[in-house]
Amino acid sequence: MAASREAFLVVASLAAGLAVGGVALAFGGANPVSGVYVLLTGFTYYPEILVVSASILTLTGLAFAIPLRMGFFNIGGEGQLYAGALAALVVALNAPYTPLPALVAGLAAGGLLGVIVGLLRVKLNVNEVLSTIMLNWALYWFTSYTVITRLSDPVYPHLTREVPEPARIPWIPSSALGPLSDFLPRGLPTIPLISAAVAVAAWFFMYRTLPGLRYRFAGSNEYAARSRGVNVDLIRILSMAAAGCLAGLAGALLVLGHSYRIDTGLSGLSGYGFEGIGAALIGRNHPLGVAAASIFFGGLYAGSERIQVEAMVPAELASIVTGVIIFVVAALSGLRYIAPRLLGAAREV
Amino acid sequence: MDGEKGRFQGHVDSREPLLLNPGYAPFKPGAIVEALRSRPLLIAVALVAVVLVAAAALYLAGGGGEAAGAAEEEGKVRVLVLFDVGGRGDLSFNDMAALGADRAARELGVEVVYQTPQSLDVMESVLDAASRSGEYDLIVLVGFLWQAPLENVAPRYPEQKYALIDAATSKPFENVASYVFREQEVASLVGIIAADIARNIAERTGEPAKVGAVAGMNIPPLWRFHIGYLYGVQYYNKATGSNVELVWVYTGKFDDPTLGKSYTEQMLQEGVRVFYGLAGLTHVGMFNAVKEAAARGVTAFSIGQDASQEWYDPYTIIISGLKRVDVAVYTAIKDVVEGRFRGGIISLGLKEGGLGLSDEEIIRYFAEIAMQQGLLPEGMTPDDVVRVVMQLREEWISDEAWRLVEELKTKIINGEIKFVNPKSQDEYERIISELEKGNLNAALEEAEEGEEITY
Repeated sequence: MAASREAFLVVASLAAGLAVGGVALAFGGANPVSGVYVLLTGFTYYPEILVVSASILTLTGLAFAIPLRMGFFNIGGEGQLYAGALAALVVALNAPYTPLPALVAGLAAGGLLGVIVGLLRVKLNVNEVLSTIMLNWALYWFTSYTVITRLSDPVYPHLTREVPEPARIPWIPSSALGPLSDFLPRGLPTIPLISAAVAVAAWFFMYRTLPGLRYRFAGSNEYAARSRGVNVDLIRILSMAAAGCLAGLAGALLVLGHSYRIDTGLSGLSGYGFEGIGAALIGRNHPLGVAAASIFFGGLYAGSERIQVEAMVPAELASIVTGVIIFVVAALSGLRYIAPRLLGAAREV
Repeated sequence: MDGEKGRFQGHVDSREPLLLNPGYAPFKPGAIVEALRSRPLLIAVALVAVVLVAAAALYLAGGGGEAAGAAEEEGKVRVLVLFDVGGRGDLSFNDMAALGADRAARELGVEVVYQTPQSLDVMESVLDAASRSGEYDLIVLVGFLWQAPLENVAPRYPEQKYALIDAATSKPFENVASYVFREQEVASLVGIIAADIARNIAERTGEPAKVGAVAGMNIPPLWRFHIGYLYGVQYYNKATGSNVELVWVYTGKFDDPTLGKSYTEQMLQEGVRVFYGLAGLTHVGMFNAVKEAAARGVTAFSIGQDASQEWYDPYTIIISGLKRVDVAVYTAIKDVVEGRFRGGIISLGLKEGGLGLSDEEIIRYFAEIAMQQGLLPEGMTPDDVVRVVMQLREEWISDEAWRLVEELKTKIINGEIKFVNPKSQDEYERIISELEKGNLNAALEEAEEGEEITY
């Protein structure tokens, strides 16, 4: 069956990725077997890193996967995430009562960017790859500028002021976690629950509702959809808006639910947007697949911290190894676009 | 575009036309069973399962070996050194810290482990997990960026000892020893030297004399450098009646040589000829820009900071301000080994040997380390580095400048001069603008003539 073939492909690409990662470790002078082992189990040591980064990547991954259905390559998750984080922080600092307005602001800021890109594409035929890449930089510097000139903390000038307590998204206290409380003595951030709910909602919308069907229909055959009276242009703009909202939400959640600040170099934010693309590719652009791939990525992030201590691997090598693993897995997952044809051809002979 | 779109048709599998019946769209319990049969979900589940099974298998397989390893190391003092996000390879601040820890490992027989968190957001998680593990007798936190995470984590683990290098917690903790440097002291000496070189260059070219600094982030240790450096320049101006100008830039980053290079090139355009590098890895880009300018025939020099950095390009790096981060790290570890660890602030300056200007001995020392790592410029030996630098100093730094350096140094060591430590951005900016007007006392603590400070 097709399913077993694809499952095989996923397992094979994972195995290949880890093997290549092991080779990279060996080149760096570390023990490849124990190195890969530490990389995979490091999350037990840093569960918080796994949980937070996996949930943020799920959202940025969806921000790539959803417009891809409409033939849009949204490379702008990065910039949309910055916009969401910045908007959420500004609102939270100025209206520190509940996290809700800040969340909405983050969502809206990302969504607005998405709409701009969508309009540019539909009305003026501006390639969305170009516009999103350019916007990423514009937003990087705009955020950095605003953080440095307007929001910096007088005590820690390399950070912004902190989101006040009432505007933070509360954590689930470790006492409520039962057997998990040993793992998470500080409690569980609420981000993963929100993110999981969004992923399930996205799946339900796309596969189990009528508008979702129209959406997939318009994406898979534009002309047929048009002839059946589907407003393809509107759906396109909406798909980019939804993507922007998701990435903006990711930024807002990060600021309101975990870091509470942005740093002047944006090191706490940068990378999530781009790596979400990898998660989308590995997760087959399916909402639940994206979530699974993000968990794998989050585990690697945590592992790349742990491997430095456990296997005495320098930070740079740890980054190289995780990068190589993600690259190989993503590249091989991409094979599925070609592999069925190859396998199909082989069968016919 | 159409051809590409065709690829994604793969998502619409043969079952899906069923969905064209709108009656199917509302949620039914059966949908879950249906969903479990969907291919992508199956793959997602398989992916997670594979990872978990592999991890569990490896965990069981590796568990035995780990326990044996831990038993072997029992009794040894274990130290975790956490770098900030910039990490190692900056040839100055972080590498100096590693040098001190390496020395402790060698001489005191402690076991040292290094870690560099990959983003600012994970620093607290990393620190919390390391503290909770109880595996380390001491956690050394290198750099200002650790202050905020440490202030959150330290109260949670009162038994865990921490040494914070180059920053101090805003309120005292019994389990945190903060090592700070009085950076103004070394920067003021560098300021005199830089101003002198700039004036000597200006005399030959006829252009106005300008010195510059490429700084990292706008943070308290760099405020102190700025104040000291400007103080030194103005001290020189006052003593010699010259008019050297200071151009100071914050690049905002400690780990971006490209950025450092572009800022430096811009400043070279503005006529700055002497550059003080205060940005970790970023100012390696400044070294490169000055080196290239020199190759084009522009007379310009760099000044290193933290470690002796002359070896990187002895023809243009004429001197380095030393901030002995290694001394601080070594002392912190040694105190723990000898059971003398105490919480509080330990301040290091010229008097304590924590700061200084690079001399022949230390230039050779760092050139030798660079040689061992194969980093020295091709065809040079450590002795060549020392010789070239000393010739350079002979040519470009006047005896008058050295005399002023000695004079200021003596005043600092015997306590005649005490620099202010600005508490806020506003105070810092006010001091700088006063210094720019030539009011040297603005940088000093107010102690009236003859008035003894009583404790």
